[in-house]
Amino acid sequence: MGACSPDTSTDGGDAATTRESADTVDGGDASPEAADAGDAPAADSAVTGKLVVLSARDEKFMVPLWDLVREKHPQLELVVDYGKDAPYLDRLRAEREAPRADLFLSKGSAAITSAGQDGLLTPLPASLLDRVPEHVRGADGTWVGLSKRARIIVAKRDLEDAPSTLTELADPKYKGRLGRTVATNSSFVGGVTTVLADAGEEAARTWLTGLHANTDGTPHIYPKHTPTVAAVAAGEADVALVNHYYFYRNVLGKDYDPALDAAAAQAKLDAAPIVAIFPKDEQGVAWNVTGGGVVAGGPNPAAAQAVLDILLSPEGQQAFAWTNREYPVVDGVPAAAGVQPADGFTWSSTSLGALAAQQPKAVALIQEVGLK
Amino acid sequence: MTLSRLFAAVAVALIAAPALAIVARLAGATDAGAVLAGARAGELLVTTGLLAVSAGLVAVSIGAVGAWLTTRGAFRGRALAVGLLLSPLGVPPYLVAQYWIEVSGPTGPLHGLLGGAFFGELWAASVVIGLCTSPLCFGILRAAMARLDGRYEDAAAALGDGPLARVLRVVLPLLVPALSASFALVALYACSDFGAVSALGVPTFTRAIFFELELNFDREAAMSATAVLSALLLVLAAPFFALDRWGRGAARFEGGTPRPAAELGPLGQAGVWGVVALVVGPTSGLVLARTLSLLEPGRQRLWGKAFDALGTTLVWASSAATVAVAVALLVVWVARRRGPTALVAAGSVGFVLPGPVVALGVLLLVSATAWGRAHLYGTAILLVGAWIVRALPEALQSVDAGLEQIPSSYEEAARTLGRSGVGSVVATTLPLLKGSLAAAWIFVFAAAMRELPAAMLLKPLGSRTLSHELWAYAQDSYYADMAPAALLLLLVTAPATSLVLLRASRTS
Repeated sequence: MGACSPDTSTDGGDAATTRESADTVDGGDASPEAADAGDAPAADSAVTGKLVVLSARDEKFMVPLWDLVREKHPQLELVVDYGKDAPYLDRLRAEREAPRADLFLSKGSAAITSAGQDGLLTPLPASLLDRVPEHVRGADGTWVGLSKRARIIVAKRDLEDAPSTLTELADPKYKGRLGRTVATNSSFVGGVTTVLADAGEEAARTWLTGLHANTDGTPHIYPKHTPTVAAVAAGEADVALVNHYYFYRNVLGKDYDPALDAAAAQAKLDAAPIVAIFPKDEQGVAWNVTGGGVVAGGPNPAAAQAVLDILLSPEGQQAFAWTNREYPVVDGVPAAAGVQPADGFTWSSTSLGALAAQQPKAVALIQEVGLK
Repeated sequence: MTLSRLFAAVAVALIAAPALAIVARLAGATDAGAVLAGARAGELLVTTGLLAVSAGLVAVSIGAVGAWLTTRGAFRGRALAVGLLLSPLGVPPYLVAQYWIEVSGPTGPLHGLLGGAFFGELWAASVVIGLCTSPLCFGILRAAMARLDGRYEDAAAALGDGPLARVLRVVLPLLVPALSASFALVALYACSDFGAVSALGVPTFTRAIFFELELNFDREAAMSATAVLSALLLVLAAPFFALDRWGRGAARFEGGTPRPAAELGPLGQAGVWGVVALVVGPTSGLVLARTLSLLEPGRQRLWGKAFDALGTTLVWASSAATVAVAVALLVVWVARRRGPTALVAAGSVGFVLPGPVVALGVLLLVSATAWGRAHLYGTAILLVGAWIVRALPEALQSVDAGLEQIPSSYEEAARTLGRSGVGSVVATTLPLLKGSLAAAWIFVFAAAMRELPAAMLLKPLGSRTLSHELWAYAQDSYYADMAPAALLLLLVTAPATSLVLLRASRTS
């Protein structure tokens, strides 16, 4: 029993770890190079001890970041838990009196906003907050955005009546031609919150009703984003509503390849059977962020801040955002090679707090309209 | 020996506690009506009910045909056919469903043939669940057919009934209890399945419950909604539960001299292997072939993670199995020897509780007290406990069937020879029960190894089970990344499951 992994602790709680740090400790001589950032506490020297991270971002996209963290803080033992936003709220609440986690990395803004409002996160120093624009952080200063994603349209190349706005997707001319994920997909729900916040409930209902009419009973409702994009690429659906990085995953390669330069990426984009359309709706392109916050009363706040400090450094932003081809949030850090530049379209100006407030209404509206 | 009764009562109370926590929560849910309307409870009820019935019918038909051909037919390779017909139970239905989606998806190898025919389709979920659980029916029906008294059929033949009339008028009526029990077993499974319906996008209760728990950020509302939906699901499952109990009880009292197997002609043999292909092809065959073809060379990090997950899962699953067997032994022994027999039924509550519901009950219980929050929350104890609650019914059944055959006079004799109460059990009953205990252990172990929803909701900080590991990749369509974890899971659960099944099909 357990012969494959004899040293895995199993007595529960804080002992069960994914030995993220195991392969760094033996290096020994990796110099505790000072982080380049300004005056964030504990940022200028290597932190030690154990850091427990709750990550709602999938493990696959965290590897480059942890490599960077290990390089800067070789003595830090990383214990990373991978899960979902909502159950992490339960955990943070249940452990309020004696938190075991230090850092919460959310997949969307709604959960981390709620955690901040609930007093589960500790306010961040200005030295961290000020590195991102005001609209990409919690209004109460308890969390910062770490990467941005856009809700876009994927269309067949040379489609004659290609839509230029999200609103158009509800037009009956796309009946039987529109592809989308199931409505329970969290990004689909997230997209609806933006429409609710920007255009109001009536407009959102009309739009959803149109999407429903265009997709109901068609084979173009897909379990996930990847097959949704693949279906357009295969010529089955003409247009689809997706997060921008799924388009790039299809066209530039499933896994991010650091060796792919701008020219090579452009060649792939030019050769692809599909194009990305960044919608030109009046309210701008719907978006959301992954967020990071320090758990109030957590055992190792210095280490949590040190990791946020790395995350908000230019190389941290690249390590974190590029691996999933999301947009960095720190000004001046470009998107990965081949990805539409962030200043190439208009982002919605709705605040993230406003989006979070729309979440329950979005779920209710989806059910009311009856989208599968 | 009132102490043993006390222990048994405490154990059963602990097993029932998560369900009771949900009932308590239900009392506090003032907006039950709004929840039911919002979640479209009527549709959930219809979809889940249809799924349960259709999956049950698929599994029973396939199980019955396979069992009939392999008990009454003699042919070369019969043992192989039996093994293959049992093999789908070794692959988790959620993995089968993920592969159905994968191979038929826009980039899948069978897309040209199948299109995206499966997603969102109730029939697809019925077939996946029906095929994957058909070995349960196959096992139960094979045992029942082997016990059929051949003289009834001889009498019918003497009265001029042809083969078909004999099956319809004599065999089928005699098999009604076994058919009902196996149908109910699959229907109950379908009510509580999470993974297959999630992968295939079929809106059932369990899936709605899981979405509330995983996606609703208003946690208070999510808990209330989950409690309401769970209660409704229990109501839906209750008749299947009753049918299962009745069928098992009624099936026990058959017996006689079975009819000998007849040599199968070429047509019959073609039929047998056709059924085998129908059962194995879309389930265990697909999973094995696709997993192997998806494996990519290298990927050391992935294999490292998969082996880590394997290690942790092995330890947790074997802990769950060990505790479950101990509890089952205590409860069954007390129920049989001291009473009340209702203890066994009370301990079987996990039978009708889907994984997410047990997980919610456990979370509600633990978060209710400061001590629980400080010392239990986020530990492996919760997950192991949830697995025990879920799998205990099977352990109870296995141990109960074993103990039933051991007269209490052995223990009494040992006591008159001076053994203590516990000593007399250890000296006489335990050695005779070894086989049943081992079967129960392996069953709980295999069930825990592949369990998914509770593992996702209750896993301790910083680690995850093999099932969760592969599910996480599948959720984002990284199927090649999923393959190592899938292969390791199959390598452990398939042999474990076949051991139990082979034993069951031999001894009954």
